[in-house]
Amino acid sequence: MQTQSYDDIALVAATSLPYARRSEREAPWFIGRTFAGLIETAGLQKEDIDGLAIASFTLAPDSVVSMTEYLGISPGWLEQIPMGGASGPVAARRGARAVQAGDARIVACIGGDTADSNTFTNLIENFSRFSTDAVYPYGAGGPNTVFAMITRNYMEKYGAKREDFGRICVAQRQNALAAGTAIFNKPLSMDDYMAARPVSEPLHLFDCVMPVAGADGFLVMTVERAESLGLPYATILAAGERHNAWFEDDVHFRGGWGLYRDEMYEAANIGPGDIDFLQTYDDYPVITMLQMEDLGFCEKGRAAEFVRDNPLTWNGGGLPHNTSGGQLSMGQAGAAGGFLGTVEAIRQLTAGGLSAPELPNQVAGARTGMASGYGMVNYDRCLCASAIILARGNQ
Amino acid sequence: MSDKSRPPVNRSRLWRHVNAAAAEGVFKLQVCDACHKVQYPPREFCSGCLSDALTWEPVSAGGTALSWTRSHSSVSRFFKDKLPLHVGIIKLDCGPVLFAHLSMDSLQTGARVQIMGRPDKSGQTVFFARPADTGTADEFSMIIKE
Ligand SMILES: [Zn+2]
Repeated sequence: MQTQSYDDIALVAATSLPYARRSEREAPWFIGRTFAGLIETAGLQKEDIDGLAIASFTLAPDSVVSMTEYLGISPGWLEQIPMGGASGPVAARRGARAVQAGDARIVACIGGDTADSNTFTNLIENFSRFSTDAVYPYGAGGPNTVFAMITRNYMEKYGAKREDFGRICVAQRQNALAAGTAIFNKPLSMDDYMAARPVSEPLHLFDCVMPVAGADGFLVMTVERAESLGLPYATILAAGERHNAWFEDDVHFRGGWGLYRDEMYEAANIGPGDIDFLQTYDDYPVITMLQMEDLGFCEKGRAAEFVRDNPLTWNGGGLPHNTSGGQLSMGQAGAAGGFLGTVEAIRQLTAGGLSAPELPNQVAGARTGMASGYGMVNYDRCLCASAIILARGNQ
Repeated sequence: MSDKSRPPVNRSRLWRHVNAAAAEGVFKLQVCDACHKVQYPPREFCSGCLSDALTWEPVSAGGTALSWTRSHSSVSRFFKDKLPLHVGIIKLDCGPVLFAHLSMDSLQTGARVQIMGRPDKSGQTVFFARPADTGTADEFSMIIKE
């Protein structure tokens, strides 16, 4: 059975707050400023928003419910998405279905988090029962410990070298410099990458994302409404999610994407070769490689070769990848990290349309793009794998 | 706030059974009465057949290192002056995958190890993995409670 299409749905108003290394502000501020940015960009009043989907780690003890009171709105549809790095594509799916069903007319989707010297420690200390009992006591290294294991296994299993991971990081820094919005705004050479200090071997400094504060969001509405509002939009060609896939694997080397990618490409009526850019969830470069493989850009175990042969820069003539610089250059703003790729994809596919200016890192002629998400280390791997294929709308 | 004198102390309610087994000097994990699947980390019901009849039973402490890391960073003040630390994931012969402090002699994928549970300086049990022919835990004295 094929899933219902998203043909009549528009994603608009890609909005990002500038990320900061730390902030005295609380999570509601980040979500609230993004909400204000969304309605301003779309020329709407706050009362026009009747659906709200939020992803945040630092919003507790508040929730999406509390946000309605902060925002002074009374929506008829709410969703909180506890999927961290997978939340962007999932929010778009949830919002789209609500609009298609008539449960909401305009859904604001926002991922946002604050960061100070304690938020990251508090988060990883109590991330899940399995993690508190059976991972955190082993050095309190956080996700670095888990992904170091996954990275070493991948290197030994498939022959990937540190330089291969470095290609991803170096290309993303070039993208970040072009985009001009990243916290890490100094050029990164392969020599810099290789000379970095070890963090949790085989991971070194530039393999790891820095926790930061920030937020990203977008609006979901019908194509008809976007056109009547005169807004440039992206359409959803297909989307999918899968959770706790391949749980019988002793070490994580593949994610849930591979279980639905064929259906997704079939629904989109295109193949990976037709995708003009890819935004992966880059908490660690090995996870980007898993996405390239499981989403069909190369065979399983061949991503190292793929990144050797394909320039990943926005204008390199290969597969433009993480065109804003990704989390490896922007930092990881909690659950906003799960929105970053989706929001950059919408931005790429709406820039230059109607009155919207081109981006400094505009992928020339991009008609379709993919964003994928990955989130929630419950024990020894992330469990949520999401993806969405978007196309340029009305321009 | 993290404590310089103690490793992380928080555990779920079920961890008391792990502490009790370690006090006896026995490696016990939850085994499903219905389908015999061995479970780790601790949980309330079997992830195979969903039975909630799980019994803490002695199981084989043998295992094989699947992967490992030498860690140079920690958010815990206790660990910060003990870096680098060696941590591995171990495929237990009885089924589950378990994180453990890993012996220097075992820093190799495929290394055969024996798991040992001991109270750490917070009094909570942590697992150590060392070669099967080494009975001593001396290497881990900075973490184990005297
Ligand atoms: Zn069972």
